[in-house]
Amino acid sequence: MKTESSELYTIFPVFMVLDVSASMAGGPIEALNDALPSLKKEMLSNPTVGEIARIAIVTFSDVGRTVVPLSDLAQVDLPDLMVEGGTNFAAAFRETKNAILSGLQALPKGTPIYKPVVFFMSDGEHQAPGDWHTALDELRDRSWKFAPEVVAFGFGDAKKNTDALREIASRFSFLAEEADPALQVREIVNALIGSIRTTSTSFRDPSQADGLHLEAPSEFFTPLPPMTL
Amino acid sequence: MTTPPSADGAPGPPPETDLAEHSSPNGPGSERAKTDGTRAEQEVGTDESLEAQAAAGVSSSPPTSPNIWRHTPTLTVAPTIGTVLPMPPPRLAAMTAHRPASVSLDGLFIGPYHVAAGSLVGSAHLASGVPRQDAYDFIEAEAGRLVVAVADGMGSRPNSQVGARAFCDGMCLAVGASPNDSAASYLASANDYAVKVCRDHDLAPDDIAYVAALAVFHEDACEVLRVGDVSAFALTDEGFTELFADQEGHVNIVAAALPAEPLPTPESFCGHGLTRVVLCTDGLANDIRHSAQVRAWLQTSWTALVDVYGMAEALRFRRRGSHDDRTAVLVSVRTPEDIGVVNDGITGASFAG
Repeated sequence: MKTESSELYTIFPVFMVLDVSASMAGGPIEALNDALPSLKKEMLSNPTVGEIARIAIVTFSDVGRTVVPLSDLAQVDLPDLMVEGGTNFAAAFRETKNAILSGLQALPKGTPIYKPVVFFMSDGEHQAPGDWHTALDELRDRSWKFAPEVVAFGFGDAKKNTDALREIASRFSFLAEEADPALQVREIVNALIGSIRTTSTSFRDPSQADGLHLEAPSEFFTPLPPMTL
Repeated sequence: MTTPPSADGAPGPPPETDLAEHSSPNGPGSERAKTDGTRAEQEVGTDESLEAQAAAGVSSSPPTSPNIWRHTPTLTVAPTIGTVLPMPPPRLAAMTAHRPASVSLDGLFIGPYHVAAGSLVGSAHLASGVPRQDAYDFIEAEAGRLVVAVADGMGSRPNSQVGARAFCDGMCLAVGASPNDSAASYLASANDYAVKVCRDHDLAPDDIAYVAALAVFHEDACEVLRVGDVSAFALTDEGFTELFADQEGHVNIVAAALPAEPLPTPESFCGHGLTRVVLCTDGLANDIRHSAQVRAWLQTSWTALVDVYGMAEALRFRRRGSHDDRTAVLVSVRTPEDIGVVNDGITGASFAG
């Protein structure tokens, strides 16, 4: 519920959208659960990040779930992510939009915010009935005032269909380089943390860059060319 | 002597410990600061820290050697607003060229005006080794005509402090060359000068990107032009009134920046009868807009004419999420009655203005 406040603190809303389909079983999901505390540590130790960034965690398999609503990660217990069933991108995008809407609408009226960023991470392809493009379009709808910048990271079997990653991303998509999926997951989480840190501390940028600063080192990631229509 | 390496391997002071603890002090003299013996800012071995340990029920075993590399902020009465985390030590990155001082201050009479100005490097810049990127300057053009420039370098650009400083220098040079020109002409000249400096330093225009405002005070009129989100407020007994509409949209994105060719059409404000006007960069403007406590603090701090130390103190507040450079140029317009008798603030004597 919106409240009026005489103290409105600047917020950088970040939505981590994580694939927890069956293919993540074993090393990748363990690596994800091992890496998430480092994000919390960054929030606790770096005031320029911890005082501004608010993080939500959305998982998806057959369904999408908001496992951590938009929060000060320092104040919440991190969930233990579990693998589930298939891979439904449409469910991921619908749930992400819900998480953005509920997270930002809960802020006090007039809260200054950075442009929301969605970090999408998947090791596979959409494997569910129905098309996922409509849900993506609704998420990225430019007329929506909370429309996020979507950054896509692929690893594992995602390399079989890099076009999907390119379509999902607003502009920036990456394929992880490491051979070991667990290492790939770790590097992706490191890239997320670095990007959150750099964006939090770079107060403004001309519209050309939309305020987002990515830290995806080339030794770990192959940047995919933007999808042009 | 070799400087101990930091946690990230870069040279510099050792990292503070216990950084994970949240704090919500109301200044260094708050109950929290006095009772929490584990806070990073707590100096080891001082009377204050021993008292704090005792108050917190901590064993008063002999203090370990004081960490002489710990950076202890000096006391301030400026408020801390919201829950804040301890800041890491200030740093400067290697190979930082074009570095302005971390702080710039003024407090003086100039013609029929008093100008109190301050520019403080932001805590995020201090933590990441980046220099202050804001700049300001002012000059009396001819009797009764004051021109002020405030510029804010883009945080993501490697040498934006060069552009911000060059804009202010360019304004002063333009006024010196043509004391009767318009605000728009000064803005254009300052932009041109920044482009020239950029070229002289062999920098790309994007590398020095900045936003800026320029104001001309004359008789009872005040004209302000801006490109980007540097802003201006009128300050009265009732509080702050922003002279421009707050730019809508996300706070980390601005629509216009300099240097630019052609020069974008600036937003403009023209008013009469304003007795105190503050030009400020967004690092401070956002706090003024969104924090009642900051507004109250600044209004109290700026009730009377302030000197350089008062200006520094006014800008030293700590607010959750407020880590950008802060720059304010407060222009107080003296009426003819004010000018008749002015206290010089040093001897207590009065002199004719």
